Amino acid sequence: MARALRKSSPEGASPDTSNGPSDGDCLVGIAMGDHACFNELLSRYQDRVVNLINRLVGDWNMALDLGQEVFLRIHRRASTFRPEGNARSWILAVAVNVGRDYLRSRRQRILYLDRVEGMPTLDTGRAGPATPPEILEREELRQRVHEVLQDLPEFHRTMLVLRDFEGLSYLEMGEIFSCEVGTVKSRLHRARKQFEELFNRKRMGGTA
Amino acid sequence: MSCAHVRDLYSPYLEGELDADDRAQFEAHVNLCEPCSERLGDLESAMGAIADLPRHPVPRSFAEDVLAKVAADTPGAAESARPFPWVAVGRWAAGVLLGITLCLAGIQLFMEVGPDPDVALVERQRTERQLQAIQGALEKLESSRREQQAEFRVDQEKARETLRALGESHKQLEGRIAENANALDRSSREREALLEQRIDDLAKMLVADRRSNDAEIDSLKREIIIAISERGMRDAEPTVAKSEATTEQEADAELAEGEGLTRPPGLGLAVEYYWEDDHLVWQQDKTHPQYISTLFTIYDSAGAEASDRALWELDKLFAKATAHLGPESEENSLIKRWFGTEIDAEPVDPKLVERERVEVYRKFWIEELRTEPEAESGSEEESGDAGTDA
Repeated sequence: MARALRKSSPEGASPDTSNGPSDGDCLVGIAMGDHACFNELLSRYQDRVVNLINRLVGDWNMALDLGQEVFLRIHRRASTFRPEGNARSWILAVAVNVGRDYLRSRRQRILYLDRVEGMPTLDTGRAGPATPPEILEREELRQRVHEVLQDLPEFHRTMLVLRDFEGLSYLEMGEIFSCEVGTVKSRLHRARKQFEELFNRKRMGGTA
Repeated sequence: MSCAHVRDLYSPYLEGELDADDRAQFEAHVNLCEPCSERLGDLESAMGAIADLPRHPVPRSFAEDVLAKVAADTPGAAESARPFPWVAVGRWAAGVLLGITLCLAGIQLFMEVGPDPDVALVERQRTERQLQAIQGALEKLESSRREQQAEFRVDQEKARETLRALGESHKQLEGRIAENANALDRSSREREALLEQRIDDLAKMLVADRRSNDAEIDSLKREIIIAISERGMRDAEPTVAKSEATTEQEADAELAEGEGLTRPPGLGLAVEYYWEDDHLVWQQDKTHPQYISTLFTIYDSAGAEASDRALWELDKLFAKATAHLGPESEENSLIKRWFGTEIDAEPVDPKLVERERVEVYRKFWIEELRTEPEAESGSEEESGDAGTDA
């Protein structure tokens, strides 16, 4: 009964860097005033950063605005990146901080707004061709998962989004939150336990 | 392993972090417990659903907005960070690639089809149409690129103008702030100077008032003393005139009336010595050491007329003070020797008798006042002073 949650390695979700400078080189270049590096990093990370923030704040339009703020911060603070550090963790830490700053400034429940009308979608789901009832069921599950995520405290939601949505490793999460791997694990397990309880409660409420 | 404990281990289990024993216990429980198994399955599928949540591509304007913000954030980098070259060049390159691909495809098709003139003509016409369509698309792309470039330049110019206007308004505001600060500074300095001037004026007024008050008090004091002195002199004058012109009977009658009614000669001068602090002490007790001392002082230091009057008073006081001792006493015999039978009679030998009298009076009053119960400490010194001053 061996189960494995990880469907892909964290690196598998990272932007493609095979045809250009590494993320760290880009950050160093930005710090030295190389705008091509900034353009490169922007093209690599814009989707990822905005989608991450969308999952944190639950509002696509706000995620777009906050995503601009993220890249502005990256441009301003690239000089604080240490070349020996993990560039992806550094960039995602900026995104997480921007999202958390926004949530703290607006301590109110974000209304669920997943799909904006007319917005193109890029479904990266790994499921194969599905019949309409399966699609419907999958959409319902996504909807419920998203709602439970938005009901979670902001810190727990961030842990689950980074781990399960972004597929980050413990080490990378530890770099983002500046803590040990053991601390990341215990926080993640607490977050997931709370998620499971809320999810189960919502499921029972939905079926009742 | 209880259900609650198993629920605590869902996450570590799914992460593959349980050791062999815990995992075996966990799986044994889950295999037997349907609710736990169901919840674990739900959680696993929910975790998968989180990973499968949709990811949306950001709109093209996102990168342009970011680059514009970055350019605005770093004015010196505006030129190199402008967005249009990348986007437009990308579109243009895509168009060129598409055109080349289609051309190659057309040529290849032409080659494969062979030299059939009709087919070749048809294919050629089709290829020409495609090429025209591609050229049209390229022209459209080029024109849209130019439009975007022009729009960008206009926006850039507007932004620069806005920046210039902001800079000017900033300078104006700074100038106004500086002017206001200067005006405030000036007015506060003027107010301070005015306040200092008023304080100085008030202080001067106070000092002047104080001086005029002091002067007034002094002059009042002087007036009072002068008035009292004049009054003493005026009171004394009739007495003096009387003493010079009165008969012995009148003098006796006057003596019999008591000492309070007629002021002694020279008392007006003596009054000045009783001025203490802010009130005037009018000493009515003629046996008071100060009074006696004053009489001796007047006798010793004043002019001849005042000295005579002081001596006259001393004669009377001595006679009165020794009256109760009886006619056989030494003092009364001295009085008889000095004045004969009557005290106010002319002394036998004025010069000799006067010196002797005064010496006797001094000694008498020194002794007498020393025994006074109310003047135990001060009278001796004062009487002594009176004697030594003489």
